[in-house]
Amino acid sequence: MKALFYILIFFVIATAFWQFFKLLGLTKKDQVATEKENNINGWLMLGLGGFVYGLMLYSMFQGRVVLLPRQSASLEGEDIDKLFVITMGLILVVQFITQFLIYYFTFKYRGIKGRKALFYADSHKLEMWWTVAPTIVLSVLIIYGLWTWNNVQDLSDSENPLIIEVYAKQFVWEARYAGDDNELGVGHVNFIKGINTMGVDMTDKNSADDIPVRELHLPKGRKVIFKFRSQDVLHSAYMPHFRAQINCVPGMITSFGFTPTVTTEDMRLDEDTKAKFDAINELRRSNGNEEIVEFDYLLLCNKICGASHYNMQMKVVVEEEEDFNKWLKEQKTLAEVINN
Amino acid sequence: MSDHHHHKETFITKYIFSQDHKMIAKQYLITGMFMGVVGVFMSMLFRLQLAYPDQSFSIIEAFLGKGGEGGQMTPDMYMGLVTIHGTIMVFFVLTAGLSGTFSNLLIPLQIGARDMASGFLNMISYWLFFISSLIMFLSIFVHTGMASAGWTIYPPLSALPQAMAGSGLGMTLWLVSMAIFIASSLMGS
Repeated sequence: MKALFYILIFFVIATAFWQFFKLLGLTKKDQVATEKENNINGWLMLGLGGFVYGLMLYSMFQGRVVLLPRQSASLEGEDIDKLFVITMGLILVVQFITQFLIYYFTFKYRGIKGRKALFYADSHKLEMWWTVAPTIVLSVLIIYGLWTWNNVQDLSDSENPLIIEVYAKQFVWEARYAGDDNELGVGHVNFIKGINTMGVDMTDKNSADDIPVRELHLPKGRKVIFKFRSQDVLHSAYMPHFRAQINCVPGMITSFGFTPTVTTEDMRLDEDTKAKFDAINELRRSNGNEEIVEFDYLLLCNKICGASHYNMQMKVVVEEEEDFNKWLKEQKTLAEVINN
Repeated sequence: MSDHHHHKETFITKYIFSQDHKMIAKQYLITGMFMGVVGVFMSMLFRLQLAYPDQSFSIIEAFLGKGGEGGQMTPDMYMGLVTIHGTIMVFFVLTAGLSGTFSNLLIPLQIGARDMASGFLNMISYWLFFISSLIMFLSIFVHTGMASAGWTIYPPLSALPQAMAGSGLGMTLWLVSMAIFIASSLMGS
């Protein structure tokens, strides 16, 4: 496989040079393509169209096993999925038609001796339709998208939400739960000192019962509101299974909320997830890696934040409310951690 | 056309500091193709690493030296290659290819004009582009690392050398190159 890659690299560079020297001759005087050249180019274009479509379908088919589990793990994610499917369906239809026309017309109207171009100045009717139709379709899509996003981002109607602050820094995530009073103590980068790595103001009365953690646990069926801060550069909190993503910006607080609906255990038993992880483990075995991986929800960084950006992640566990409460009880509060 | 060209053209005015839109288009084409080869080669290297993350390739060590010790690319080198590849492809290949080559070559011919409206500015545009390409190309070899905050160059990652090695001299050169490129693009259009 390596040898093939080397050959491919050599081939591409050689082609680049060949094209380069060929192009230099293109601006010579009185150079007109012959009938044969036009035919070759026409057929090549048609071939390229077929090749590109083939490659696209093949990639979609081959890649299906390593994609995300199909089921959204949050209530709000279902709306985002619906939006995604509708948009994607529309795009696929339109791209099939337009791409087909581009390739086919390039082939059909290739240079043939004696053929004259049709002089077709304009048609207001045609122009109106190709302006109005995309405008309507795009407006509907954009308004629908905005509406969905506003609904997801509207956190005002949530009853008894769980409040968690997620703190991003090169190259780890930290988090703290709001604790018994369900209010986060003030956090600012100036308060970072020693063990107080999230920069929590310990004189704030809301701070003492906050619970710092290195692994997120979420209760199933309860709205969770995340507040994001960043210590150094831009990060992006990305929880693909819950269809959630928002930037973490130094100096400001961004937020996102969702209601987890599927526990980690249930997701592992899901047929679709199982099939995917069987395939992934099979792939790992074929690469000589015997360690079996299991499904886990993840919080990832999705904005380039430095050299170890690729490895910036945090495990997320969704469990039943009682298991969650039990786990939260076992965690130490900030007052206990910092004052000892 | 022949009325205008009474004076004799020397090699320098015809091929180097040329004000002829066709020659300028060819100059753009050559520079753009060179940058294209550089950009494609970079993408080959980092995609090779991406496709086989746990294997080592002698070609990576041969070309990247310390950034590819043992045939595996370091994360810093990977980010740098991705960044410069993106920059080169967007600004130095697509722009040089489309507005530099095709617009320069075809638009005067298509509208039946003798040349671009201002040949002198057009010439300056190319030579600024050349300088900008040169700086961008040389910035790859900076000792502390090339600009590596992704081609979108989001601050503060791109602004602080403490955040990432490439945000030092490499990023400064990137910005200088871009400023010249923007001036070039302004004069060309």
